[in-house]
Parts: sequence; C-alpha cells; structure tokens
Amino acid sequence: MKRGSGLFLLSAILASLAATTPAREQAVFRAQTESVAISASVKRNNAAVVNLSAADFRLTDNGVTQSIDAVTIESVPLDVTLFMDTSGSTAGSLDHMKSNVISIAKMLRPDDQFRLLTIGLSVDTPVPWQRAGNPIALDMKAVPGISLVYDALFVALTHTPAAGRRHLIVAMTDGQDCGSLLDGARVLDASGRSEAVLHWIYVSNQGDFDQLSVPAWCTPTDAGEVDFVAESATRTGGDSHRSRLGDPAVRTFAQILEEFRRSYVLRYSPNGVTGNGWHAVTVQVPAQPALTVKARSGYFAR
Amino acid sequence: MARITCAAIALLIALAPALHAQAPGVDVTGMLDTYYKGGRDEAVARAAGLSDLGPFRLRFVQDSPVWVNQDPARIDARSAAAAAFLLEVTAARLESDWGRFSDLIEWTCVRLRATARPTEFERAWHAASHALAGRARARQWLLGLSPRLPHQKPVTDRPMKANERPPATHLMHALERFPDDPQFQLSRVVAWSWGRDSEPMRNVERDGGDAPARRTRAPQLEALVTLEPLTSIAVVAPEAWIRIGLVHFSVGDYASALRAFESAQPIANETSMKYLAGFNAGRALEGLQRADDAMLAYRRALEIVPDAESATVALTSLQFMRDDRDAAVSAIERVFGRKPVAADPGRLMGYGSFMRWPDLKAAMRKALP
Repeated sequence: MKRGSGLFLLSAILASLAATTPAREQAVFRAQTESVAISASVKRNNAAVVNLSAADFRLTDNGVTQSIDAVTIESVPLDVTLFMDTSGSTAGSLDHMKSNVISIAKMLRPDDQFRLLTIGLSVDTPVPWQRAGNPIALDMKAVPGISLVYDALFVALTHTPAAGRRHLIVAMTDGQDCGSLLDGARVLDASGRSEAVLHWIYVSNQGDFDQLSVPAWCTPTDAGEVDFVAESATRTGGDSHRSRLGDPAVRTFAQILEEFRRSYVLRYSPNGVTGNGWHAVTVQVPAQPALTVKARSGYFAR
Repeated sequence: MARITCAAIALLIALAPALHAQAPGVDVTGMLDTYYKGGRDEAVARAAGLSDLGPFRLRFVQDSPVWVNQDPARIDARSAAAAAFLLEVTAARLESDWGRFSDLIEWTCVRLRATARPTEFERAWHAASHALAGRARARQWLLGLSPRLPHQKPVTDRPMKANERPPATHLMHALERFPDDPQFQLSRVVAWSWGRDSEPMRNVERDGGDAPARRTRAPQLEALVTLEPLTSIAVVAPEAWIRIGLVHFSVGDYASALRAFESAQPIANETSMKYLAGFNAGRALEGLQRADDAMLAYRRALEIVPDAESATVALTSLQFMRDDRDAAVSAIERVFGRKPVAADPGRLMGYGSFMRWPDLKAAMRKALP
C-alpha cells in the first residue's frame, strides 16, 4: 500500500541519494519504502525540550502504538514560506510588512530557502523560492476588497520539500477570507495532506482602512462556523499566535523559527494499521506528563 | 445647463476642504494637452503618480472646462479627451482611490450628457466607466439606493440620512442615453446581483437543510427574468448564459448551472468568455460530485488560458485531495513560481465587466473624436 501526505516516501531514489548526504542526515532519513513523518515540538513551560530520544515518546496511529525513531532536526535546512496578507484588512501596514519580510529573511541560514506569498486579485509570489541570504527585491502592493487567504494557504501547503529538508509556513493574516475559490474545509483537508508545519500569526489592521478604496464585498460563508486557519495550523502540528505587524510580528516569527528548529520528526513504519483515509496520530511523552507536546494530528493514507 | 451647474456646485462643495489647500505642481491643463495630443500613457502616468489627489480633483473641476472651451471648434473632441483621461487615471489608482474619483466620473457624465445626441464615444466611455465601477462593485453608484430590474415594480427609496448625497445612478444615465444597448442592459442586471450573489467564486457550498428552499426563493433568481431574453442577442448571449449559470450556482442548483455554462461554450468568441464557460462548468460538475468530469473541464479551460490561476487552483485542489500529488505540486510550483502574466477571468468574474477593461479602454481611445 502506498501512503500519502505527511509521509516521506523514501524509496530507491532516496536510498541512492543517501549515499551522497552527510552522515547525520543518513541517520535522520533512513531509507525505507514506507515511512510516516510526524512533526512534534516539546516544551516545558516556554522552553523547548531537545534531549529526548525515541524511547521517550509514545506515538499511536489510529490508536495503535507504533515503534518510532525520534530525531531532532536542528541541522536540517528549511524551506520557509512567509505568507503576508496584503488585502484591505491589513493593507494599511504595507511598510511594516516590507520591513518584516526583510528582517525575517535575515534570520534564516544560508542553506535555508525562502519565498514570499501575498494576495491581491490573485495569489502572488513577489519572492519566489530563493536561497536565504540572497538580496530580496520586494514588489509588494496592497489590494483591498478581496482576500484570498484560503487559496494562498492551499498554494503554500502543496509545496513538497526535497529530501532532507522541512517546510515551515508562517501566515501573517487576520484569517478573514474573501473571494477564494477554495473554501475553508478544503484547506483543512489539504493541511492534513501537507508535509508543512503551518503557524498562523494573527495580525490585523482594523481601523486603518481607507474608506475611499474599493470596498470589500463578500460575505464569507464560513464566517462563524469554523476557524479554518487555526484548525489547519493545529492539524499540521503548528499553532496560532497573536501579534502586531512590525517588530512584534518579527519577534513572534523568531520564536516560531526557534521552536521549529528545535522540534522533532518522529518517523515510523505503520504497523498494525491499515486502510486509506485519515489516520489520527497522538504523540505523548508518558514519563514526563508536565511537558507540552504539539504534533501533527494525523495524515491521509492512500 | 442647469444640471451641469448643480453638479458642479455639489462637487465643489464636496471638494471644499481641498479649496483651502494649495495645489502646487498639479498641471491638469498640461496633462490634458499631452493626452489630447496623443501622449496618453504619459499624461495618465503623471496624474497617477501624484501623492495627493486632492489638488488634482480640484484642478480637474476648475481647469478642465476652461481647457475644453479653449478651442470652440473642437469642443466635442476636447470634452471627450478630458473624460477619457479621467477614466484612465481612475483605472491607474482604482484599488486605493475609487471613492476619490467616482464623483468626478459622474460630474463628467453630466457634462457628456449635455450634448444633444449620444455619440459612439459616449457609449464607449460609459462602457469603460461601468467596468471600473464593477471592480468596486459599486451597485448603488450605478443603480441607486433601491435598484430594481426592468420587470420589478419601482419602490420608494429609503429616506436619506442627514448629509447623505443621493447616489449617482450612473448606469441608469447610460441607459437613458442608450436604452437599447444590450451590454448596458446586461451590466444593469449584473450590478443588481452584487450583494445578492453569495460569492459566486466561492467553492461549492454544502447543502444545508434549507437547500431546496434556497433554490426557489433566493432573491438573486429574479435576475433570470432579465438575463434570459439577453441570451437571444448574439453580442451578449455568451455572457448572459454564464451569468445565468452563476445565479444557479449561487443557490446550489448545479445541474441548471451546468446547462447554462454548456450553452455558453459553443457560442463564446472572446477568450475570457470561452474560459469562463469551461471553468464554471468544472465548478458545477464539482457541485454535482462529478470530480473526474470537473477535472476534465478544468483541463480544457487551461487549454484556453494556459496557467490560469483559477482553474489551476481548482484542478490541483482536486488532484491533491485524490493524491495525484505530483501533478498538483508540479502545476502549483509552475504557476505560482513566477509573476502573474495576465488577468485571470476566473478571478475577475465577480466584478462585472472589469475583466474587459483593457479592451474597453482601447475601444474608448479608438472612439475619441
């Protein structure tokens, strides 16, 4: 059976790649034909706990305990997608956004990759994937009256990082979608199939909206039903945060990045579970119940 | 003439705060000269680059009539140039400043309507102005406080609030001048539907318990009465069918929506209409739970507008959910890994004729006397 998202399918191709990767990565990405990778961060109060081993974790797949390897990912290069909501609700802070992008890109390591997504009448990529450290040519503009948050998140979630890399998405938005083709439920589905970890930084620019720009017109059908952005973040093992554009948002990003670099990837070959569809996953550190564990809530098998 | 005077007085009152401001360096007369002599893009770029539009607004009202009357033998041509210049500047600043131009457009409309006979330029100018209002979905500005369709009984407008000015009813002025223009008739019903269309671009709604009732009682169904006769007028028939389909789609009647989109497909000539007919057929098929057929429809739409973002998102979201992951990722990385190349009709269909703005601008320029 071939398994789906949330998995790294490391087959013969990756086995051959392993021969050229550093020793540490060979240990991280063991060649297997079927493997599930679950992101998990572990914290005591607000501090990351980084000295755990596979034996410390208990992981269940659809209720069945699995045998796992646990590996920190400190040295693994990252693909970082930054999504900036440049719609009317946040557009008044465009200058803050631009400076935030520059500051955030500088936090990354030379072997990381970075891209920037924004939204207007389309989902835009003002900064396509590029090596961290390269100069960033920013061409951001604000477009009021439309807010393609769901479509942008879907685009972000579909990225599949190369073997030996991980994908972090940080979305700075108020989460209010307006005019996307996709609805929140489909984004939630996609987050379960994505290999990314999504963090949502809630930012808003309420009260600073130019009443003479084109008005927002849509009435989100999802309003008041489910907070799809927050749920999507949770499903990927990420989290929701509140901040303000400018220095506070940069600090929040720094915390997310630090936590992500110090989180674990738990890998296992599913044993005793079959079937396509959603597999609910739980991760615990049984011997230390005081620890807070945030992990991907499951994956879709196919 | 009395109408022009009234409109000018009203606009000057609105501009009163700017009267106290200086207007250094805003040479509207020079911009109009440049535009009139053929330097159209240059003139528009100069105006669009202004950091403060207040002085421009003031100068346009004060100086453009003087500039128009400078050559009595060419008043019509100069008046048309001033009107076209204004729309092009509006387009350049549309997203951030629609509300700073809409009253100037209506002021210009009053001046154009003062001529005895409607001209082809006036028709083209109106069509272009409706496109810009479409991006703003300015229903009241186009149709008034209590917009009605031709078959509906008029109603009394709600009482005006203190200090509230009546909306322009800009599109109704166009229809007074060009009552038989099918494009304006179509624009009227499209504008009427704004605010009643439940986001036509939104993905398939889930059927709630009231779904059947929604399909028969939804207010937007009234639009069908006006749209259906337009399907027999060749020049607007493809879009009329597409708008009919969108009305059905918005109430969850996907079978009727599909029939309408399929009716548009063989008669659509414009690229945008061909694309919308195919793309929306895909969305209706999704609503009917025919995912394979929907994917086929999206692929066909992408043959019409390669790499269109709307069909790409729709198709890849299905592929991603069906674990055809490689195809989805490949398409997403290709389409979103580069700067957008052209406007996507699927993104713009909720904004009336705005998707045609480049063509309408070209037609307006061509019609300049």
